Amino acid sequence: MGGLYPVLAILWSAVLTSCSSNPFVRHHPQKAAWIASPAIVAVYLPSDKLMVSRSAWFAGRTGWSESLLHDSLVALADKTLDEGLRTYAFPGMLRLSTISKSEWGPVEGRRVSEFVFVRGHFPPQGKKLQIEESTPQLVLFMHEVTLGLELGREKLYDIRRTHQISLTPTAPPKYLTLVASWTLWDNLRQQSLSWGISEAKHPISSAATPGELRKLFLDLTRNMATDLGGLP
Amino acid sequence: MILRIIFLSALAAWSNQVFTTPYNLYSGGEIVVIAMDTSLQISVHDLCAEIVRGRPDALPLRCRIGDEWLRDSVTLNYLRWLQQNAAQKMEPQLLRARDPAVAARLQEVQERHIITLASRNDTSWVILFHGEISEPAALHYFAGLTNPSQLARTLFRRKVEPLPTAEQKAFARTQPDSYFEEAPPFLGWVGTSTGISQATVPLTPRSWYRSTLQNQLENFRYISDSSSAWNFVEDEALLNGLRVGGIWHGFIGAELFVLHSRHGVKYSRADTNHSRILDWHYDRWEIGLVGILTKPYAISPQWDLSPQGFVGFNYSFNRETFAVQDPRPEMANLRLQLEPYYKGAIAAIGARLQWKKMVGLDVRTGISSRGRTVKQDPGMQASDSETIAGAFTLDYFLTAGLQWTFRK
Repeated sequence: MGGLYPVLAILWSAVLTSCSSNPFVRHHPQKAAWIASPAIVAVYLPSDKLMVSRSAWFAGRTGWSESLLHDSLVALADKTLDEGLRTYAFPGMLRLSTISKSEWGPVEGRRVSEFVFVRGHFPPQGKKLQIEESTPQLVLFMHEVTLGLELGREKLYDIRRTHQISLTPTAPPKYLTLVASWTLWDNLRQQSLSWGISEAKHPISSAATPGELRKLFLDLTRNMATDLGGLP
Repeated sequence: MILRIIFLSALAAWSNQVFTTPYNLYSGGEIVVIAMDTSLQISVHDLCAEIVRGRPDALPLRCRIGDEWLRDSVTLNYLRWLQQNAAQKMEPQLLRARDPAVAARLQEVQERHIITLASRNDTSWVILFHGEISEPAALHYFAGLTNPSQLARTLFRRKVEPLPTAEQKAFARTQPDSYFEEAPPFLGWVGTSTGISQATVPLTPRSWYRSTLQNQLENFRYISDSSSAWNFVEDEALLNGLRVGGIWHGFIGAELFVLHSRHGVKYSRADTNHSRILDWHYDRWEIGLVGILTKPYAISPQWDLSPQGFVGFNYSFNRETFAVQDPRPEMANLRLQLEPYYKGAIAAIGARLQWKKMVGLDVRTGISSRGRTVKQDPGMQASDSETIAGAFTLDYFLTAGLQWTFRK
């Protein structure tokens, strides 16, 4: 037996080190060449793309009434994501205001890896997004943000697992999860530079207070900055 | 000098391909050339002549300028976008037409070849549309301008296919997309393994093996029981192997293996006859074939876990190494001998953890046997004949292996 364990350990570590690519993020092969160093970046955070699962649970923990929960969470998300992205990713970023439905193209799916896709709206080919007559070089689209309990990105976005989500959980939940799908869009070339799904996960302590949720959203932006990779 | 030119031009033709999918040139086909820039315009007459030169089967071939593509503003928009986004590191999916009207137009290209010429920064890009996909079928680039003979050489092979008939097209449309195939493709592997082999099977009483493991050879050949080889050779050994195998349809497979282990002979140290032995061991080589039943489970986007069951047979060869000080013709030459080969069976269970369908970690455990081959009826004098050493030997093994896997 003595000869076997070192061999196993070497094999296992070889397998682990070879596993570094993230199946939830994909970058355009020309990203490094195309990304301009001082780029004007705009971020689009649509308020209607925040989803909350188990809203009754969150209403009980946050102290917001169930009817006001979604609006309160949207306000919190908007403010915190803005703050987090400025801190971790794009210090001088601009905000794109709401884009009307007629300005978008149809819903498009982008493959991230073999079993993971990002779906969202993109500007139609040939149309460059503008902010007050300036054209940002890069736009970060947040397609969907999902706040839930034990709803990690594997459960939500891996097509082999999406059917396994249980609507009637049997055990008490252990984690708060926040998942966001996003695309870093080259506004001049009309091409996605990076696209993927990021997540943040916190153990559920005594209460999911607005303060705790704020930390969760900030964690998400930090993970997003890591997933986005080489930024201008 | 001529060779050098041929080599350089071959290198140039080889290195300017960004991507290409398999496609055919059809006899009676149609070539449409779209020049995005007046400086890129080439003579379609020359292009047709170049293609037909050396490919007489391509006749009748029609070549024309596809200006109607440029008169459609949505299509022109897409082609301009392509011109801007073409790059030397690129995948076809990233150049897909996003506008539904353009996508529909590209899907109707079918057997025609739409050659689009675009230039950016002193590089000309050749974008080919073909078939029923809404993305380019091939992308090539050239430094400077391109010419008809270079285009014909780059885009088309020598072989020309007849135009598919309506029935062939209808049949091709009924074929399932390989991505949606339910039956997994063939999975093959080449791998190495290492592990241990021993007489004691876990979870069995120690008393089953006590006498076998304690037995020792006296005076080179005497032993109370010689049926199991573990009476006279060491059972615990490092077991190394090479394995080649495959799984068909995701559940049934076969594997060929070669295993090696080294077993020292257990001779009595108290016996003074043995004092002159320097080295006495057997190298056991086993070749065999196992059938595999398995089922893969995707445990994450990158990892697959496949529990496996194995049943098979092996042939076991023993190569003896015997060295004594001062060899003399005596008992040592009448020492215990093994048969030239034995054959036996293997049963094992295990699991393969596979990363990205490329590398696999294979762990398996089981038992294998080896016994003598009875070539003839032992007859009435069987009890008088010599006992054959190692008539039935059973061992337990646990191995771990690293596999390079490939799919077809």
